[in-house]
Amino acid sequence: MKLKGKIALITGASRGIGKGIAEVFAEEGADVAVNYVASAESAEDVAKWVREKGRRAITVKADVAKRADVEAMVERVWNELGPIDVLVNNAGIETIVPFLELTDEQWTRLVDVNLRGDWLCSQVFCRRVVAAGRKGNIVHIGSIQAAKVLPGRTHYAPTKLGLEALTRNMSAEMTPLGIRVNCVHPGLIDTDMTAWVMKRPDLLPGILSQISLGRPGEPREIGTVVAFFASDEASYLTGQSIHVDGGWEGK
Amino acid sequence: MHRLDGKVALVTGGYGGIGEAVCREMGALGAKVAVAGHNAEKATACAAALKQKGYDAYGAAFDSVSVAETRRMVDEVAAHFGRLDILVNCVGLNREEKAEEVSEEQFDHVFDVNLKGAMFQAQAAARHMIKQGGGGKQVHIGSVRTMLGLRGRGYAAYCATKGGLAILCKQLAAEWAPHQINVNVVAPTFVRTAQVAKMLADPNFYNALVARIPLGRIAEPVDVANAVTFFSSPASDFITGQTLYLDGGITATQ
Repeated sequence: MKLKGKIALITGASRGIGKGIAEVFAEEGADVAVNYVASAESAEDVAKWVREKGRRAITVKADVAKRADVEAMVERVWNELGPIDVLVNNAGIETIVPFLELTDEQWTRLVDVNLRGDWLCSQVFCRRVVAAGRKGNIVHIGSIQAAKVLPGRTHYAPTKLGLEALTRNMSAEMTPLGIRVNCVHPGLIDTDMTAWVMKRPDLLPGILSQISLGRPGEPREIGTVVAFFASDEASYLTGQSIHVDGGWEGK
Repeated sequence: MHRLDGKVALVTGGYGGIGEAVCREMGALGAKVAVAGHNAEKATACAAALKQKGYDAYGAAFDSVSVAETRRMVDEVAAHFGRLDILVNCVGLNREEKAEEVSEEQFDHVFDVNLKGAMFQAQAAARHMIKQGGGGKQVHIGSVRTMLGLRGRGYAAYCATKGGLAILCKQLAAEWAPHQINVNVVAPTFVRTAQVAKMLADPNFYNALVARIPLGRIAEPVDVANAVTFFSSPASDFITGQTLYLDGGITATQ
């Protein structure tokens, strides 16, 4: 087991990719704090699944864009599960709005959650880890859109490419303090966030034709990569971003 | 998620510093391991050491600059084990010459070993993987020089071939994805191997080197082996055509 005895906080873990990461983490021996913002019930289902695998789990509500929420979340997880070893910044939102119609509020809310939220969770986590004299590990969840253009994403895509720069710069400052920072960019993953794509016969074949492996990925296929990045087997890996997209980026 | 039980792995350059660690980790995860390199004695000795640990292993010799030899060796390994699931290409070398002094002969040699050799190892392995069905995994060893130039040193041939390796593997990944063959690159910085032991023994060199690495140490062969086995396992099934820099933060910060 790659993460035996580790304690992990996964944001946005009540569904989709976050849920897949939580499941793999539990199988690899980690205790898991399942963050959510809206669906307490789904979060509790994930926590229950983790407990059935013999690991400890709690659910914790927090809006990752609000400092008070994030500070309370990290404190609670630290006190209830123990010192956090791994932070997975998975929470994110996606909307599709043509550039000419995008409002200040739409830009600000999306950037607040997707970019500032990752920065904020990371800072609160790192301050706690450094103060405790411990080591830590962060994995940001980006997107294929760090590399590829999809319509109506002039607000979304910059947040995901921004995570690459956040990863590099945090890595430069935090790696010498014992905290590795990396980023995983998922491609098309079969989740409820992408269910609408899967149901669009006018869109889906065009997207699948760009994916070399010719299929969407499963949430757990992101989970296995994040688990490796967060494990001691990857102890020399920091500052990196990798596309987990079935062969979409770069062609 | 990371086991390789029953898989047959061919590791070229398999008795070198990185290759030997890869062979050991492959064996530990349950793979049958073919150790290949130009020196038959060393390949056999490495395979014997793996067998002593209880792993199924086989040594094979080949000249990596000969396409015919490469094909013959890959066929020999596949025939011995009955199949081939994983190729790890650890063959590579550097011939340092200032750019204005690079000779055609040395440039061709570095190109033949680092890039042409990779292409024809990949092709020979893929032919077996395609014929078998059921997919396969290929991992080629790049370098931070896949991405970064190096001031003040004669690295033209090395950088060109290691950079070429990344796009070669991206293209092979695109072409062989319909056969479920994943092709990725692990690109390390300085790894503690016998080949560079003399350089690392110089404290001035070592201290200057480590000062540039945020993680504060050079790579150990096992670091590379862990990444290689990850890319050889089902844990990385949705990754193909990627280059992962395993460098303690160098490419991120320079």
